[in-house]
Amino acid sequence: MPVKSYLVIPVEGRKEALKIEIESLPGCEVTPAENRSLLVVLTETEHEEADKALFEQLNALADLQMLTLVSAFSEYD
Amino acid sequence: MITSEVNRRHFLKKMARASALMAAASMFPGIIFPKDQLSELPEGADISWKKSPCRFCGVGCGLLIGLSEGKAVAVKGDPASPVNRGLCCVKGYHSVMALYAKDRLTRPYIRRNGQLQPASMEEAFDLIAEKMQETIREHGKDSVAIYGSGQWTIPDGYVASKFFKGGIGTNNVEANARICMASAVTGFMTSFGLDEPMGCYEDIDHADVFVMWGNNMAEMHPVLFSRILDQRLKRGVKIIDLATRTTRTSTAADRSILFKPQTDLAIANAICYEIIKNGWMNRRFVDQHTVFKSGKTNIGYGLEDHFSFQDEPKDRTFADFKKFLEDYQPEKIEALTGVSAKDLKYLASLYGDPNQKVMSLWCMGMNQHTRGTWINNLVYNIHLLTGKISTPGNSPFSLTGQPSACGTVREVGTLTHKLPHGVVTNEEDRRMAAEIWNVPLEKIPAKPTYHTVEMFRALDRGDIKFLWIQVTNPMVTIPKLKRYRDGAKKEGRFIVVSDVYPTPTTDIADVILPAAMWIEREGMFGNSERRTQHFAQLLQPPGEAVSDTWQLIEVAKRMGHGGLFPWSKENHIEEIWKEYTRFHEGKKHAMAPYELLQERPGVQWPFVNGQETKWRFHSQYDPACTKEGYDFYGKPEGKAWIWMRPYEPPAESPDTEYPFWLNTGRVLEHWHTGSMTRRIPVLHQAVPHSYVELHPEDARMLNIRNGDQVRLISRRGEIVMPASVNERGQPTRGQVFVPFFDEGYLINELTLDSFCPISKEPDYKKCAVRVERYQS
Repeated sequence: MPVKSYLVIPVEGRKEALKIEIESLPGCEVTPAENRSLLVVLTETEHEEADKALFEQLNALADLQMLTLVSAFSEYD
Repeated sequence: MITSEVNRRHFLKKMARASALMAAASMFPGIIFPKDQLSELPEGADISWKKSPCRFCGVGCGLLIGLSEGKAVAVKGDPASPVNRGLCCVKGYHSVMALYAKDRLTRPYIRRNGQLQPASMEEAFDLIAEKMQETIREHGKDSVAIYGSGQWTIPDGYVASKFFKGGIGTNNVEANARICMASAVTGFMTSFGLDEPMGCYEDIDHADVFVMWGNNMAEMHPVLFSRILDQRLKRGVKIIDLATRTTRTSTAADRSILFKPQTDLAIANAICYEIIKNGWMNRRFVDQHTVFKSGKTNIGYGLEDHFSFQDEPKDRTFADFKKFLEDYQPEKIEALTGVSAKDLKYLASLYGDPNQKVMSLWCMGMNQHTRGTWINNLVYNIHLLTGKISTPGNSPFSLTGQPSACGTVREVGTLTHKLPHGVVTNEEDRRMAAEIWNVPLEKIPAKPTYHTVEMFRALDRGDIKFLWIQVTNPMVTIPKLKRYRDGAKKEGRFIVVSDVYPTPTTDIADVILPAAMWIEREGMFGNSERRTQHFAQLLQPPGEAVSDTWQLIEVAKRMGHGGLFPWSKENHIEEIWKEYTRFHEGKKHAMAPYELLQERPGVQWPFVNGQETKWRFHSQYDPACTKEGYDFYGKPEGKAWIWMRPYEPPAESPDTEYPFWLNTGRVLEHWHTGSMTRRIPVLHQAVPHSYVELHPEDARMLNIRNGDQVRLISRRGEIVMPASVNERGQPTRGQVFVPFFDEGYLINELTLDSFCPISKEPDYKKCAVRVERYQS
């Protein structure tokens, strides 16, 4: 059951639009920076395949300029 | 309850979010998020939070470890810690995951008929004791040795020193801090007569200018760098990155100045020249508190076995010093250093401005240097000429790389020439050790034996037959690795390795002992700012794993040295601390009592009359001073030494056959050789393998693109690895950089075992290589 976090840089001027788009995807939570064009995105999916599909969905968003994985957890014990 | 899946996932999400927020803060200085996500705690969670210093770097961040049902389940920065004030870096946040990788060593192994086979701890301890006794009987006391670490806890190092120096009677004790911090020690000793910084991290809150001397602080000491960036937001402080490679620190700095490898020596002298020429010298301070010295020159590089060197300080005058600096006029050294005279004068003006408090910071760039002691001296010279020292914000500050390089190796003295107080060559120091250890004075040899590189040479030659390695991975980290790996594998050598995971070093072991890691046992670390931090045993070690301290005691008992360690498993750490701190009684180095260490998130020494000492050598802050104002009491005359140290080239420089410099180092996500952090999925995925960074122009000339396979060849070996172009860091033209964290790419097969003749610390930053595009 993967939990991942990403740093997301929107296309210039599209931060708010991208935030709304990502929030509409199931399993995504968005924390926008107040003073920079940057979003922290947290994803939670049921299994590896769903995680991969969600990643592809995120990557396909037109307003997204860069997506960087920071952290990935499944089971760590 | 955390046992519920909901709460468990809640924690995972919190940690994932925290990691991303920290990464954002590291990449985008000053970034603000709408609420402090890090302070959120899950409601109703059955978690107890216990303090511990971080397991990884020398910053010594205070952590709170979340425990539930006998497991560490979460980490957060300790807001009560004056070091990190609740912050934490990406390694710290994920540190507890390093406890739980699947291939954790949980039982001992003994090599039989060439194969490592499972054994019991009793068998392993018996065999180690038997082999040590047999080796001593047949080849003498100096044929057995121990090689430890700046990741040893203070009790580990203390017991190792007492066992080997006071029990067996050999000075064959070394630790990997020799290869990371020894030049800092000899720099302090030669300039001030006492080791470790006069200032502390609180200097960051007072300084106006920060000069990083070859120090990629944004990646190597990220929490401290965040504190500096915070000061820039609040007070507009200046950050100058003086380096041989463009890094995240350069990007965040106000000014990035690149110089040619090794020429920091000339740059420091040029700064002194300009300070004097422009009348920026603090004449009164210099007259009252310093003396001038010179030492030997053309001092060699230690490339040959049995190399020895002894410096001979000579008295000099200010006039001598001024004349010496004539060779370092900025215009004269532009070509040598690659730094314009204008930039050199700018640097001098920052130090010279009487209204600016300056903090100089450095770590491996200056220490892993064939003139490491000299460059430490030269940066102190700048601070001494301007009187910018030992007061808040005026601070030459040598950072450490490992969590207890200071606490264990430097303070306990786990080096061949050292004792917990003083050096083996001094009879008074030996007498103190003999009295506290209750051993005959004659038991402790007066002569040092082997420093680290020479210890591995002795193993290769056969002068050392038995080597016990604890908490370090020399079969990845020793320079000119092939010689020393082949040497360790020779017939007639017996190698014991205590560690938590399999590594290239356990691969060559005859016995592997599983070690209790970090919070699976009780201990103390000492960080860069003279802060000792205690951690309790919070977890049970897995399987048969036992702390390094107790492993040593078990073997010592079997060899008849049990009388040196008359403590129980329950009380031995407290008893060790009480005994050890007797070595440091007095105002210059008194340590905090055990009970106080248990309570507080660290205590700085000297701890005198219930007070920590933040700044040494000034009577306003330091109770050990015996006169008003400055008192450099480490030197007999009470004055600091300003050294005339020239520029000298490195042992090996690029030429037509090997035209590139090779520089090695670390990355933010991985700790040293990666044996722990590469087992943490998040960190491993972030940087899954090593690479060679090239300057884009060099890459273009060699027809190398990002990700292409590249062959690096030195006079000692070769390696094929992927290229990194226009990614994290960018070396200057004619230089390549390779991180050493990846045991799949043993870059130290290529490096050179040259070292600073004074500190004996190797230079991992400079040797010559050829670079080729690799086509299989």
